[in-house]
Amino acid sequence: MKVICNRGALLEALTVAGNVVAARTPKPVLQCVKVTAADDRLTIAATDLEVAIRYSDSQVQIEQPGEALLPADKFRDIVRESVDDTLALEVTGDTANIRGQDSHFKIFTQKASDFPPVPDFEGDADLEIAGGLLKQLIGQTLFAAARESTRYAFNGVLLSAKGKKIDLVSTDGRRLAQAKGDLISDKLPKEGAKAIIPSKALTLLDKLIDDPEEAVAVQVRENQVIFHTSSATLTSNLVEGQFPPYDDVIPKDTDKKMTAATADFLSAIRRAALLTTEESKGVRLQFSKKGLVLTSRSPESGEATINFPCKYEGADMEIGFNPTFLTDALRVVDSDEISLELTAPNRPGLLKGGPNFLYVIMPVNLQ
Amino acid sequence: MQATRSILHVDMDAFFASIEQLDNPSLRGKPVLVGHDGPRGVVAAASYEARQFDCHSAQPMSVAKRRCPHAVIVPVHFERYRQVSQRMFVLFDEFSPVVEPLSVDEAFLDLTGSEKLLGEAEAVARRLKARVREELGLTASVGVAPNKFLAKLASDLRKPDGLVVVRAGDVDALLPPMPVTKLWGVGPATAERLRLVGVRTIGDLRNRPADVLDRILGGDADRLLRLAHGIDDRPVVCDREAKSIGQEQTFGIDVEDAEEVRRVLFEQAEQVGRRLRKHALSARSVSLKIRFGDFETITRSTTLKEPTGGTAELWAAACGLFDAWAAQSFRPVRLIGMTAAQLGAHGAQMGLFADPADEKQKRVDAVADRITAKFGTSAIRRGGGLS
Repeated sequence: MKVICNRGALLEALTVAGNVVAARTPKPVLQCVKVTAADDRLTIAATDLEVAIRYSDSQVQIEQPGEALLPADKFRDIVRESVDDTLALEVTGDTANIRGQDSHFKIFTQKASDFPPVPDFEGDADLEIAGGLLKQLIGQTLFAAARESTRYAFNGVLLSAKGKKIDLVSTDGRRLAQAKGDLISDKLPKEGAKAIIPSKALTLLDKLIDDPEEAVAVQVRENQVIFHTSSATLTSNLVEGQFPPYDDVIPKDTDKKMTAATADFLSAIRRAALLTTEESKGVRLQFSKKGLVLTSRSPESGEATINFPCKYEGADMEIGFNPTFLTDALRVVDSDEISLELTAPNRPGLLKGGPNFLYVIMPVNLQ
Repeated sequence: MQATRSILHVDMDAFFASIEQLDNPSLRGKPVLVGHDGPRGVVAAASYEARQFDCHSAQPMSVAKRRCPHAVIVPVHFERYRQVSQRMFVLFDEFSPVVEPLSVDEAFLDLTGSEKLLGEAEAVARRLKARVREELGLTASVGVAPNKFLAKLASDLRKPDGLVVVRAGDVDALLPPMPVTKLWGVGPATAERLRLVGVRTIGDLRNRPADVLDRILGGDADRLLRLAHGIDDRPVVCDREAKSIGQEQTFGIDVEDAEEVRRVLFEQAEQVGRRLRKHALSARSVSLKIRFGDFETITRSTTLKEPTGGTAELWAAACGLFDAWAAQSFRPVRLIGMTAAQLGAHGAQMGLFADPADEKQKRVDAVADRITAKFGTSAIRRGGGLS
């Protein structure tokens, strides 16, 4: 294999692919990226056996097609630290030579045939969604997914698509986020499709989408989901197990409602949160006709009281929330105004920002 | 400058031995030694009658028997002492929300600010002693002082059944004649180093130049000098604000039976769980402490996936650590203890999806806590905990 590469484009490809490579793996071949030079482009493939990526770099000049396995980190570091605009990559036998004007790196390669197959996108998309919308939906839900699952399969995001509509739902058992949108097209069966996508895959997908206008093609299979953007194909196993019955926990009988400007409410919560600690993370919200008073206390530092005038309908009520759970959501709301609907101090609150985003948050016990 | 505090140190008199005499009237008035009557046995506690013969706890049983051949030797009844201790703490809670347990029979109570409600500290101390006598049938010695150091010193001055009040003005008459080992943090090694520069009493310490003390005591010099003047700013830390909550048990002898150690550990897990739940706290980590007869001490820790205040999870963590160690390296144990740390009011955050198994566990814990508070620890036993 012999190919001249634009260094910037190659670095981008290796960085993206590098995010897929597992930090620790018992199989040395998985610490590599598979580099294939053919058809006027360089394809960089990487996998951790759960998520796989094929990244296409066309800013290359192929003098001799071929393929090789190179250590992902080393290769990327060499390309990053080099100073040339272009680098020459030549593989003979089991050695890869990377040459710049003043430098020559020789690194050992592994057998390409040892590398697991990394799927390409084949056939029709089940659905197509605008890149910008997909990024927004991910941004509005990914943060609320659980870090690791104990009971339910909620260390991922539930994707549901039906009748040219899509929604993503995520939860960690204490708060839940749901974001909706319209698809560009769909070829789904009548009942639609559902899949729980691991958080890692969505984080990677988010980084892959450059152009908000581009159409991202998606295929949903029994155990896998495949995303295709203009530069890459990302495949991921689905999270196995049951997603919790989320519709059941979205409050439907609230009798109290606050409305406020998103930015102002966010500021009030952030200020109140200044005097909470990791150990006692709760802000008290006292609602009345006069508006909202937020208070917080940190046994070692002191306390804070924030008066927040806002519109409030319903009986007076006091409720406590983890402020981070509130600010997480307020940051991703894309409307200027939000509403917070409540029922009782031990029942969930429902935050809405625009018609396409809702967020359910369980309170904390105030002592 | 803080207002003057009002601290009580309550110390039960010859706790184990007194309980044995309470339970068995034929032992009253007699010298009683609690411990294992064997060649390697150690005295866990000696009644005041036995102390007249120079017997005391931690003494080899053979020595105690020589000094007091007619002493009655009684085996250690851990469960019973724990039951009494539990009731003792329930009683203390009535006098102050700020109770810092020091051991199974000792605690600090902070009465600062409660004068309007309860009255002068000395009167409160008297009432507390009376209540202990009425409800537990035992005597306590109490020290009343503006800080922990002086309060503990005071409770020791007139035992048994003593009540000593130390005021700021008494310090200069009280402290200087006392040996330097009365300062907490000064053990035999430090005392020896001080003796070599002519410091035997607290008064000697006060009079030594600062550079000499710095050399001998290093970073501790400041703190010890302040203690020598009766100044101690340590707060009374109740479980609610504690950084960790633990229980430990020293056996009178080296326990050779792993099952017996495990049984005590289970009781400790229950106690720790109860204390956590009482203050709506949960713990992220659990550690185990094991000490052997030769004083070597090991610790093992684990971090929990989810913070918990539930007895079942605490027990699972503690016995996991214990079994892992015991399977490889069990040898006779002198002390076993467990601590729950990385505490937080995590218990406060409610969940969206009730886990039926979790909810059931919480209900069991809640019921057990209520029964225990009313009737003491042996009123209820958990099944399946010892498998």
